[in-house]
Amino acid sequence: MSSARPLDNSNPTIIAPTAQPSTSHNFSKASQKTKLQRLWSEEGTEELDGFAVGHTVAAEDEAEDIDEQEVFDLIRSITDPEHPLTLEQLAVVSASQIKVSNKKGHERVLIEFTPTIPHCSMATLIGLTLRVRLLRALPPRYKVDIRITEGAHQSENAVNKQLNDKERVHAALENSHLLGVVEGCLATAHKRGGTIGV
Amino acid sequence: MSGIELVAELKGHTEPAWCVAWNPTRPLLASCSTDKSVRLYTYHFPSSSTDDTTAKPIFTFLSEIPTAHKRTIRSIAWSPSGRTLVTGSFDSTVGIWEQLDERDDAEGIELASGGTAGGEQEDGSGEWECVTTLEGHESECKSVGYSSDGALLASCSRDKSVWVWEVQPDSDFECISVMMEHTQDVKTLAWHPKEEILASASYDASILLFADDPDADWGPFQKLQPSLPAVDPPVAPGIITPDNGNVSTSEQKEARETLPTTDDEFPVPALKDPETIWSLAFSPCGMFLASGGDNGGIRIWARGLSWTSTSESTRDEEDLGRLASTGGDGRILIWQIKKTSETILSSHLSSPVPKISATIVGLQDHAHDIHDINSVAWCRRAVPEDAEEGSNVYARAIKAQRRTRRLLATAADDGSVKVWRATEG
Repeated sequence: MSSARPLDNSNPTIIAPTAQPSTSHNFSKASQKTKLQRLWSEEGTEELDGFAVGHTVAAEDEAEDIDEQEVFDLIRSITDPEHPLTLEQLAVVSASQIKVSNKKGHERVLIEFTPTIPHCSMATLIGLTLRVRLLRALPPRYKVDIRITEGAHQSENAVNKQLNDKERVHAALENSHLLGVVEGCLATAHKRGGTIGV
Repeated sequence: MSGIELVAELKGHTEPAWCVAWNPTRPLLASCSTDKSVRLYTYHFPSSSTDDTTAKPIFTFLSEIPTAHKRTIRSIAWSPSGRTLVTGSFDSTVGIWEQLDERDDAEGIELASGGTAGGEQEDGSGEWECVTTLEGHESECKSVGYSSDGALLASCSRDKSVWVWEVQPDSDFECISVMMEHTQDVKTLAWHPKEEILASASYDASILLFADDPDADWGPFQKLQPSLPAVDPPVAPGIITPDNGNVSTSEQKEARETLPTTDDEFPVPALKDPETIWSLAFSPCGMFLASGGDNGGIRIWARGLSWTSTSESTRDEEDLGRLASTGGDGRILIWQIKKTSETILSSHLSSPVPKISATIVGLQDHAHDIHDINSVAWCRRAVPEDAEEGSNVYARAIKAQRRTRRLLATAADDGSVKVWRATEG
């Protein structure tokens, strides 16, 4: 976030976001109460946004499935730690790099992300931000695995190992400095496809 | 298959529960959490219950120690006397907790454990106070534990160090060694059940065995590297994998037990770096060490026969007891581990090691519903060394040991603690 140090990638490729969130099909069959909450969530307040609502739905209505697009909507508008752009605009995340299994008892989400350059020092931080977002927003029955796109980073294996070390993730969340940086990136996460900056 | 039955469900932590520990001398179970508290539960057997092996204890919440830790309490352990509780926290400190009234009046212990009405007394209800805080680690403390005779305490941390502390009178602890041989985060520790041997396991994918060298200082005398090859998809949790590790004295045993896999809709790519070793447990006899890692496999290491002079008994078949394992898959497994009459000797072994067999005798899926399980511990009640055979104290301890020996506890991400009993079979 700070411009004190030189950017790892000073001239990233920027892409236009795809169509706006397209997840309404899932909510159309939800209860009246859910629709009401959904309306509130469109106001864009952080507390009620997106899957904070999804979480409530899960509690009331046992197991409503989620799909790749919904997971993508949760993470596409997270701000990159280095550029005032979203992870979608920088093509760090995309819907095609998300897999969801709704198999009962084995619900999983697998996300691959692609740092803009192979020596990006922010890769761990981006991964941590993705994990925090999904930890907070997804129904807790989904186990989340996060990987760097194969071949996209020089320290791919080391970063993958760290991002999937539960103890380190928990400890990171108790580190107020680190958490502050993560929260900064997440401040735009509710935009669900809207652009920022530029 | 089940082979496991639920005895009690203990809720209370408001954040993930990381570790459970049974008091070795008193009917107490402790748990710790990211909520920075320790919760203590007591248990008793209904007076009507006569059958020692199937009687179900009743658990009651006793007290909560708020602690002064500033971050997650990752690990807790009892001293062998059962009088001291130690906490290891992500705030890098180690807390030592005692009931002050007892320290001043050692007779109190005798009276309490020798009490008459209805068997054991709940003597953990008094206030637990922090008698000292050990500082020194530079980052999160991950594990703490007392040596078998309580003379030493060990702690380890993400700062890559393993510290050994000498336990002195009046809650004094002197650091006698800081060992920096690991190259990464040290995840867990296990003391040998009889000797002053300490095992540590790390993010660096190795296990180190430490001892006090009379001519020098505390230091590692052996490095064990599971060197599990990365497989795609990862080994299903609960498989004991054979492996041809390149180690000398202690050696992994070949034992394979295959479970039905979960048959995921898509494979999760395996982590390619060598796996973190998360967990260690010595067998009660001290001849075997089990380790559990990222990829879900459990390895069992045998002490080479050259380690010991009493090798004649190793040719006999022997029941080594039960090993419990659990993990992020929410599954509890109980393994019956046996030493066979065969031995293995191959080119990479410096001495023959006994071949072992592992059979699953208990399986519980979704033991904490959808949540990851972070800790599993068998209840191991000890008979006090100073208890004379035939005395009341001795008889009571033996009875407690018999009644509790199939109990185990688990702690999970939803903050809950559950107590289970391994059924016969």
